[in-house]
This record gives sequence, structure tokens and C-alpha cells, in this order.
Amino acid sequence: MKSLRLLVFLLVAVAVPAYAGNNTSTLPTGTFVLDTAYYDTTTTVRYDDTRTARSLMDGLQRYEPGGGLQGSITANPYVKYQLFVPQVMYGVTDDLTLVLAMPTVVHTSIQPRLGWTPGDYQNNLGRPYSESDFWQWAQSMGQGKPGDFSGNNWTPADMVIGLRYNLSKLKIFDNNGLRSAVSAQVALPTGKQADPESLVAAGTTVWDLNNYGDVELHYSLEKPIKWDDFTRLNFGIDLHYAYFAKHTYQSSTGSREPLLMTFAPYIGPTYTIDPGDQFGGMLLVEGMPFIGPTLSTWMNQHDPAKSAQWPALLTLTASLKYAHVNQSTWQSQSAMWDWDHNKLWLPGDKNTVRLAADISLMRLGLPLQLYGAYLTQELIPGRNSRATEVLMVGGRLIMKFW
Amino acid sequence: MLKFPSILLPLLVFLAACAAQPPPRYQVITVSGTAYQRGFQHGQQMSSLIKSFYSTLLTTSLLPYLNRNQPDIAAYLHNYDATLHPEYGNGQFSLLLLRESAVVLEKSIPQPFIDEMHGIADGSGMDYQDILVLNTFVDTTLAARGITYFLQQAGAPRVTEIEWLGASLVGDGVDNNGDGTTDEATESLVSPYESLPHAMWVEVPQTAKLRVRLHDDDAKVDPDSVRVLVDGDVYTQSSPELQMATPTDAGGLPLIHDTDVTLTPSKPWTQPIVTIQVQAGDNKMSYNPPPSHEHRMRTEQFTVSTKGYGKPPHLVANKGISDGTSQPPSIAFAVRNSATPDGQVRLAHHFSLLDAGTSHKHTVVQIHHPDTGPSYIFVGWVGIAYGFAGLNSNGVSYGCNHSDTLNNPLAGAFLTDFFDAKLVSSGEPIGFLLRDILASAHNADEAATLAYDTTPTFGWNFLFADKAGKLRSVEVRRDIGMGGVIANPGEGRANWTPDPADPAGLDQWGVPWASEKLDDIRAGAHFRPLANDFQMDLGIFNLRPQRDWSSYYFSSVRAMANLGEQITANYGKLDLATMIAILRQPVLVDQHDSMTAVVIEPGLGKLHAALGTEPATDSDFDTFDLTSAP
Repeated sequence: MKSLRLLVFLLVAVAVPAYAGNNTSTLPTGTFVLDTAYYDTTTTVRYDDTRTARSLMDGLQRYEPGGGLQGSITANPYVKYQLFVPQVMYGVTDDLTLVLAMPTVVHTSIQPRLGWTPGDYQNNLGRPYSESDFWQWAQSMGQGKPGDFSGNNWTPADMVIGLRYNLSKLKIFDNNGLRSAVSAQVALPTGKQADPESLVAAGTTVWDLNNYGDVELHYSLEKPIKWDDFTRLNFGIDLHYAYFAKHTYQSSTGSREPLLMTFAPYIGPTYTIDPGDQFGGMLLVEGMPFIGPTLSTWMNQHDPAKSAQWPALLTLTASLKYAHVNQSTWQSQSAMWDWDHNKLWLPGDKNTVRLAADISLMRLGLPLQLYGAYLTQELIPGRNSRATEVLMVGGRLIMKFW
Repeated sequence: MLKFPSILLPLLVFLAACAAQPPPRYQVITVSGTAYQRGFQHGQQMSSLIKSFYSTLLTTSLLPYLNRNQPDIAAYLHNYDATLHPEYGNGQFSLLLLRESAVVLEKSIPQPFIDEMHGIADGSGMDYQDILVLNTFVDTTLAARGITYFLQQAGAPRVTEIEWLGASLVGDGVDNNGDGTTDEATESLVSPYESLPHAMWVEVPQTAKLRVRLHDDDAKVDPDSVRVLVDGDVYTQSSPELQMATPTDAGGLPLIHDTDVTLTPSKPWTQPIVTIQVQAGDNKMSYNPPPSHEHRMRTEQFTVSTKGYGKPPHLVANKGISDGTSQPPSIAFAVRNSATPDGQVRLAHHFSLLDAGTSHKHTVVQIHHPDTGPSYIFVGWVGIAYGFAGLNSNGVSYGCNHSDTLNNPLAGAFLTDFFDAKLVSSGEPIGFLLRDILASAHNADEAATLAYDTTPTFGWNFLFADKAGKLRSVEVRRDIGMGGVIANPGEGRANWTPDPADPAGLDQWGVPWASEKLDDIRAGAHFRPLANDFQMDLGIFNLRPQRDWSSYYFSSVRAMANLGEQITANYGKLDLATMIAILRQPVLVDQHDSMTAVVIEPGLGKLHAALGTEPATDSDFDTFDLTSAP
């Protein structure tokens, strides 16, 4: 039987903001940044091979043994992840910044929103199965109607450690007025896998969130445009490669969902998922429409000239990120079961549009930045991928102790 | 300076992993050696699929489905009461039922096939008992299903009589009911009613009026549930054309369990052939097994021809229309000589029974090269040592269909031990009879004799064709009777050819049972010569013949009529492509329980199989040549 288990893999396209500001900045030596953000993400759409938006799940056909098609369970799942992402960044040198991020899932809710399309006429009923008929039937075989999932309360996701090295001082960049950096990050397996026996469930691992890789590399290049000796516009590109490691999962035995989740007898006690690596690029435009006043404060040691190059009071950012997504591969003892999953995770892509605003209060004497962003993957349809909408707000506190 | 595009392109190609590919639509295995060795090769090569077939068809579909019937069965047969016999509790009822039958059926399986099943078990890493169940569950389940379905029907309304109330049939100078007598006083009345494969009346006036009496043993017909369908027109309680009333007996007392439904169509019946379908339920809800529902009769169907059509009842099929409320069952047909453009013998078969969304994913073509005897090929399912269509290197081919009957060993157990009975099957499992035929038959006559002489586990319809052009059809059912005394000894078999000289091939009117002309023969999922397969009134149950209760009966009658029309329309042109085209006719394809489809050319040693999709006929027909198989 085809599995409803797809619900486990509803994705969160959150970009964990490993670094404050643009993609090439590093912190001055000895500087700390404490960054916290709250993410509200929803996923309701999947794109197929023709970039057509579909429900996250295909209909699941159910059969009366020897009595034809009972009908199709339809589902239009609504998935909501809420995350709290604290990060600590530290300027090891002026050109090297270390980051530690601890994404934490505040809450996950999944509403399967099941429906029903009637199938064949059933002689003994005098009608096709209605939805109520079907779930009565299923209940008599030990299978209840799947309910909503609500869980993962304050559950850690996979932790991230990252480094960024600023290349801007290299002549090739410096002479051309370019900024450049390379970054790398690694995820540590602190997240939780979904309950293997539950039909509607979600975990908090890299795979469940499907946003950042187990290992990720970035190369960023930016061209700042200055007026009056201050950067008013910034154009950037960011190339990335995200490697996802193969992980092993427990197979469901059907102890809780006997009709829909009895897999272990033929797929084996465990199976693996090798998520498709993701790579691509991002185009970015930053504008600073309002630099704001520069006050004489303790932060600039009462010399406004010292803070002339500090961030503008308001920075607006728009970016478009394209990510090619490789085939995700299930592997068990059953090639047929594997294919039932693999065919839903064929190679594809996703396109993320991000609009963000940063308010920096440093020029006013407060070592604080506030930011908010909206990300959508539904504006430009992807292919063989799930699209997420994200709203986020956060703040950064800049600290230097010596 | 680096030229980015020139290095990026190969890099991206390198990074972009290939898309996953689907597994083969179906499997092909070629095995050789001793029976055990062949089974082991089968089990080893198909291990994962055998496990998934067992899990998805039995563990998560059929077994829990059968468990739902335990309360109903335990109400009559206390051996299955989980309180008295806890071993049948906790969801073990259906598995034990199948295992107990399997152990008995195993005694009738020739040793080489037992060895082969042991090989499958050892090769796949499965328990032998599970493989044995996988190879015998069809026999047990069909018989159990028949009994369960019959019991459900026994609690539902049924048609007990019909009467023509239009312009009188008496005095029209026509034998309207085909009883051999013209214009007798009761020509307009059919009482007691019985289902027929052909017309109830012919040459009726176009101004119609009909009365149908419905009877329910323990309840009353729910008027709201009554639907009368006449070639697409639906009449219900709210239709002015339909009246319902409680009839009275000769003394004027109301017959409280009866309802007379009278149909007076507002327009004349201008079609030459009209089929009337009746559906009804009673006012007694059944909550077990769920979903809750009133007791529903199957859709009952009878046909009339209107004035001027000119054919007697037995030549007017009770065909009805394909309205989507039922699916065509398994069919088979074979042709030779004048039916074909090239004289080749061909047998086509489309088996439909139990797909449950999974069987088609587990189909396999098995090619066997035994140490001794002929090689053979058949289409079936992984883990199962047989198939319902096959061919051996002697040029013998077959197609086999199930045919509902209460004359089966499970019902026999009840008639022997009554409420102490255990529903245990017995006899020669159908699959191993078919394997026996493949392993030993030299021609269609021998194959038919083996089928004819079997002790069947259920009702089966066989079609055989050999390379010499011999066509044979066999119908069998069990001989059971009260207290073990056989009810109708010697009547449980039929074996015939389309040859005009074969009296067994003709019905009481001298018409071939299932042939259009001299060089064709066909079989469905209902009995023809064995139409009176069972009749026994036990008081609490009136055990009736297949045609009075089987859910397959009318759809099979319709499929056979449609198939006959196709054969006639293509007579002389029935080559491989035409036979495939006929198998794909929508009116002959079960859209959801289709399992395998083949055309076999025994003279060429070829089997063309469509497998791996639902329905099977949506697939291409791939050719397997037994004469050159490795």
C-alpha cells in the first residue's frame, strides 16, 4: 500500500540566518553578536514535474478486497512549523567569524485535511462508500482515521556550526571594489526523528526541515555602490552547495496504524533516506534608503566620524535564490516501496524570493539590530519540490567585552 | 582568468544526480532442475516481492477484511467464538481459518509441488506455512466469501415473482416465456421467480406494465430504497410510474413481509430488447461488519423483447447494460480454423478477482524447465506456484475462471457437522491442478479429463486449447450433501467441445453452450451446463444455485454476451492483434480487480502477456516464446 507517511517530510524552507547582515560581512576581532529569531512557516503546496501546484499528497486509492475501488482518500495537508533560532557569532579575527546556531522547533502542527472521492458502486451497501462508510470500514480493521499532529514542542533541531572567511582584502577584489567571502557550515545531529509508527508526524532533523544541509559551502561576491562615500546599494551573488547525508530510519511495524503503516515485514527493520543534495545561486540587491542620523554616543566614543560606515538605519533587501534539488533516494529491502517514495522526490528545483528589512540602531547608540523578512517559494513555481511561506522577525545584540 | 561557464557546465552535470527509475512492471523468472530447486530459485530471486505481496495482500488487506466476518460466523458456528476459543481472538481468526484449510488442502497436493513450496520458502526466507497459505488462500477464501455473501443476501429482500400486467400475453399466439406452451393461463406470471441467463418473456406489447413482488424473511422492504431501472431510466418511490403496496393472501390478510412494486411506464417501450433491474433494501439496519447499512439485495435483472423482435427467449441474452455498478469478471475465449485468418489456435484470458491495489505489482511470468516432462510457462504472482493461464511445450494451453457456488467444501462441512462445523476446505487446490495439467497433459482432451476428474475446492470454469486445434471447456463444482450424503451425484461436472457432434456442447434447445460457430468457445464466471449447481432447503436457509445469489452472475452473463458479439463481429479475423483488441474492450475489462491478461498461441509456443498495471490490459502484450526460452 502506498503510504500516507509522506506527511513526515513536509518541509520548512527557512534560511537559518547564520550570519547577520549581508553575505560577505565578518565581525571585528573579539566581537560577539547574539542573534535570535522567530520563524513562522507554513507549507501547503507541492510542485510536480510540470511545475503545477498540487496538494502535498496525492490521493490514496483504497480497495475492497475483490470488491473494486472503495474510493480515494484525498488530503490537502496544512503544515506549520514555528521555530526559535538563537545564534552566537564571534569575530575570531577581522576576517574570520565563527557561528553557533541552535535552531529549536517551538511547535509543529499538521492538519491532514482528509477528504474523500467515492469509488465503485457497492452492491451490499446499495451505494458507493461515503467517507463515513470508509472510516467505519477501516476502523473495523483496526485502522482509525488519522488525526492532526501537534508536537515537537521546544524540541532542538540539528545544531549548526559555521565559519565565514572574508576574502575582500585579496587584490582581485579590493582593486575592483568587490567584497567576497567563503562560508562553511556543519550540522550536528541534535534533532529528533519522527515517530516511525505514526502516520501523521514530523521530526526536527535536517531532513525534516529540509532547509540546510549536513554540510554546506557558500561563496559570496558583492559589489557595493557608494554615494557620498557611503554604500547605498549592494548587488550580490551567492553560490552554494548543500550536502545531505544518508540517514537510517526505523521501519513502521503497523503497531499503531495497521492498514496504512505495516512496512517492516517486507522493507526490513530499517531503511535509509539519502536526501538529494542542493546547489544553486542567489541574486541579491540591498538598498539603504535611510542612513539616519549619527549621534555622538558611547558606542562611537562620542566621535560620530568613527561610525560613519556603520550600517544604515534602514536596509531593505530583495533576493532570489534558485536551488537545484537532486533526487532523494529511499532504500529498503523493497524496490517497489522505495519507488513509491522516490517518484515523489525526483530531481527538481525551488525558487525562493526573500524580502527583508533591517533596522540598525547602532548609529543611535544602541548595539541592536532588528529585522524582519518574508520568504515565499510559491511566487515562482518550483519542480518536484515543496513550497513554504515564511514570516520571521529577529534581533541582534552586538557585544564586545575586550 | 578562469572561464567560469566552461568549468561550471561539467561541474553541474557532475553534481546533478540522476532521477530514480521505477522497478520493472512485472517479473520474469526462468527456473530449472528439481521441484525444490525451481522453488528455491523462485524464492531467492523474488524474496522481497514475495514478502511485500504477503504483507500488502494478506496482512493488511484480506486477513483483517475476513476478520470482520468473525462475529457473524461465530453466531452460527461456535467453534469460532473467541470467548470459547481464544485462539481465534485477537485478530487471529482469518489467519487460522486459512492455515487450517491449508493443512488439509496440502494432503491433496502432489509431493513435487510441496517440495517446490518448501523451496520458495527457503529461498525467500519466509515460513513454509505462510507460503502454503499464499498458495491455497484463493480456494478457501472464495468458498468463504461465497458463504458470507449468500448469508448477507439471505437477510435481504429478494424477488419472488414477477407478473406482466400490460396487454395480455395470453391469446397473442406466442410462447412468450419459452416453456414450450403457447398462451397458457400462467404465461404472464413467473412464480417462483428465478434468475435466467436469457429473456424472461419475448414479444411483449410495447405498452408495458409490470408487477415485481419483493419478499424479506425477517423485515420489510424499505420503500425509499426501491429503485427500478429500465435501460437507463430510474424509477423510485417518488416516481408517479411506480406504486408500492403490501399484498394480501387469499384470505385477505396482509403479507407483511411482501411488497408489490408495480411499474407503469409513461411511454411505450420502443426498443427491441428491454432489461429491467430491481434494487431494494429492507428496514433493518446491519451494523456488523461496518459500515452500517440496510440489508441490500443484489441488483436483480430480467429481460424482455418487444413485439417484432422474433427470437425465442433462449436466444435473447439477459444482457442488461454496463452502467458502472458492476465490473465484468474473468473471461476466456479460444478460436481456431475458420475463426482466424491464418488457422492458428489462440486462447485469450483475462483474469479478474482480487487486486486490492497490490496484486498487479507482484505479477510474474514463470518459465519452468523441470528435470522430467515438458517445459511450461504461466502468468501468476510472486510466491505462488501457479497461474490461471499457461502453456506447456506439448502445446496445451488453458485459462481458468472461478465460478461462485455454495456447492463447496466449506458449505459441505456445515451440512455434515452443522453448528459444530469448522470452515475447512478440502480437495485439490485449483493452482496445483493447473500445474499438474502443465506438467503432464499432451493435449486438450487430457487436460480436460484431469480437470473433470478433480475433487474441486470451489466452482471452476476451464478453457483448454491445444496446438492440434482441439478446444474444450470444463465446468466443475463440488458434490456436497446433507450429513455427507451427496445431493446431486454425478451432476457436478461438464466437459464439452464446440464440435456439433458433441451432444455435451449443446443446451436443451440444441444451441451451443458458449460458442458462436464451430471454431470458437468461451467461458466466463458463471455456470452454463451446471446452472443448477445447488438447491437445498434447510428451513433456516434455502441454499440456492449460483444464479440466484452470486454477485458475479449478471455481470458474467453480460460479459459473455458482449464477448460473443465481439467474436461474431470478428469471425475469420481473430488474429493476435484482434484478440488483444477484444480483451481491451472497456465492457470486458474490470477496471479495479483486473490481474493478468494473456493471449496464447499453442501452435507457436508463444504466450503474450499484459501485466503490471491496473487494469492489466492497459499494458503492452509482451511475447514469451516457450520454444526458445533459456
